[in-house]
Amino acid sequence: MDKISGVMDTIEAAGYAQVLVKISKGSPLLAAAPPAAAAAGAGLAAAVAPANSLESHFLLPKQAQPEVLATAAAAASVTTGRRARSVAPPKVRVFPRLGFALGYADEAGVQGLAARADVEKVMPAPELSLIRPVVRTAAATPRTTTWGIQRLKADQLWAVGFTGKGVIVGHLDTGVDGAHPALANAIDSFIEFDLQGNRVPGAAARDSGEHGTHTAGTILGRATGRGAFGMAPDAKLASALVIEGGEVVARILGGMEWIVEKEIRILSMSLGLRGFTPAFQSIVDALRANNVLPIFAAGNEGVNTSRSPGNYANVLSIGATASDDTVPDFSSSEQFNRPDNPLIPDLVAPGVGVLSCIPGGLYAQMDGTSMATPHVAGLAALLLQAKPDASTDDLENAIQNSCVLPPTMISARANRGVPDAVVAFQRLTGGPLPQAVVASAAPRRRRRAAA
Amino acid sequence: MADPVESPQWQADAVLKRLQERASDGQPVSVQVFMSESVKPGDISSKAEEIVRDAAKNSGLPSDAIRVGKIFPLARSFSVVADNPDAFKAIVDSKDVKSILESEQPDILPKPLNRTPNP
Repeated sequence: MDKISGVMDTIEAAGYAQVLVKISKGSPLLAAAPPAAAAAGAGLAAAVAPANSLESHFLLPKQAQPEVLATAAAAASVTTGRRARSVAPPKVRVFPRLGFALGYADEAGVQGLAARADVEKVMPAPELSLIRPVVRTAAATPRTTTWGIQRLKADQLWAVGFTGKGVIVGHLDTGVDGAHPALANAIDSFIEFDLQGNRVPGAAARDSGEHGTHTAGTILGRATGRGAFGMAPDAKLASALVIEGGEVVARILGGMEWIVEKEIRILSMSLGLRGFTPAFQSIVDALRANNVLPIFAAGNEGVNTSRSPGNYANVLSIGATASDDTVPDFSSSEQFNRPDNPLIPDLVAPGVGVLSCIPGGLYAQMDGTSMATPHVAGLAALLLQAKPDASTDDLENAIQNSCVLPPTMISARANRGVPDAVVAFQRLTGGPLPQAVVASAAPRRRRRAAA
Repeated sequence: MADPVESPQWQADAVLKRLQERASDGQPVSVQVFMSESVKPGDISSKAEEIVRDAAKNSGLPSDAIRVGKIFPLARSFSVVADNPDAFKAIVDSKDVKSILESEQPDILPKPLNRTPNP
């Protein structure tokens, strides 16, 4: 029969099916809902007591009855203000404004419905599942998190409330697109150094390219429809536009001095000159002396290469790892003839297939130690929230001593290996992760690793 | 194993050679000068003026041939602008100067690889 669509197979298997019935306009069945239904408050008010003639086509399946009865009793209790007692549940619910009825029916019931002049169609009811809340997570867990976040276990710190809140991360780069939805309310301060290295008064947060927005997103991008890709999604950014072009050395030095002026504790910098030059040693020493942890990229030129100042002994130098725990060929590494930290990089972090935001509300994946570095800066922000009085050395030691060198890497390329946020937290605070402190309603869907 | 000293491209002779090539057409060139750690941050400004003054004198240039630009005390650094290659050589020869770099650097950003838009 044309009015019946896709219902009979279910009925043949189970003896009945939940069906959705399209009712013709003008049918008395679609008359205004009774007061009880209206009081239930549904905007699309469901009529609990439709015409008896329609109800005769429906049934109450046995396994559904206890739940339906309990629901009906509870509803009656709320409506009447009296203690719940046994009530007769409706066999069908009519949604007048939608023009549908919903209930269970067997073959005879479906045939009877189809024979009615005021029924246009009988079809299987769509199966809707409840999106259940996740208990005991401090922050709303996004639908997806990047592999980098999962690899460093940052999400385990989020789950107990450490999201970087209250921490400002310094960022010297091509700037940042402050209008990107993933960076909403994420910019604490922004400064632009023009091509001559002069501060541009009142400059709005902008990106002269896209590199800076991408690295900023990895540090603290807020979760969007593309999932979660920011390591410290409640931290804020102090960003300086210092590259590219013009008197870039002066621009960078100006940016570093600005970071010290603002008493920022963490500096993420994915730039540097190929090879080794001691030119930046004084400013790096000044960063350390002012309690700023310099987290710098090692470079993308492969074995026996590095960039300055990412190759200094007193910075946290970052190489790249791929999701299969291998060090990609491009990731720089170099051994220096010096007693302190002779091997560059200090550690490796996710730097292959890194999803983050780029200007214009867009997103992109990129590879590079530039992408690995902000992962570690974000991790430092999580740790600094956990222990705000931690010194620069405390933070650095906690991160370095949390690292594990997977069997797929060699120390000459990865040095200490990959940091672990949970272990770093334990090393910094001297205790295990606390229990979750706040419950929140977050989707229970299985988390999938975004790229 | 690399020594933690300047890579060949950043050694003074190599930088000076590039600067001389750029300044040979008479156009002013900007250089970032980095002083040794023995210079106190509070003395950077006066020391910069002294270095530039001496450099002009030692290279036989007028006192205004070299201009001090921005000063970065924490970096123990200052920029200078000059159009005469001899000026840079005289600056490098100062005992208080550790290194110099061209202010403009075309390769300071390690370019990302395998960029995939909107994956």
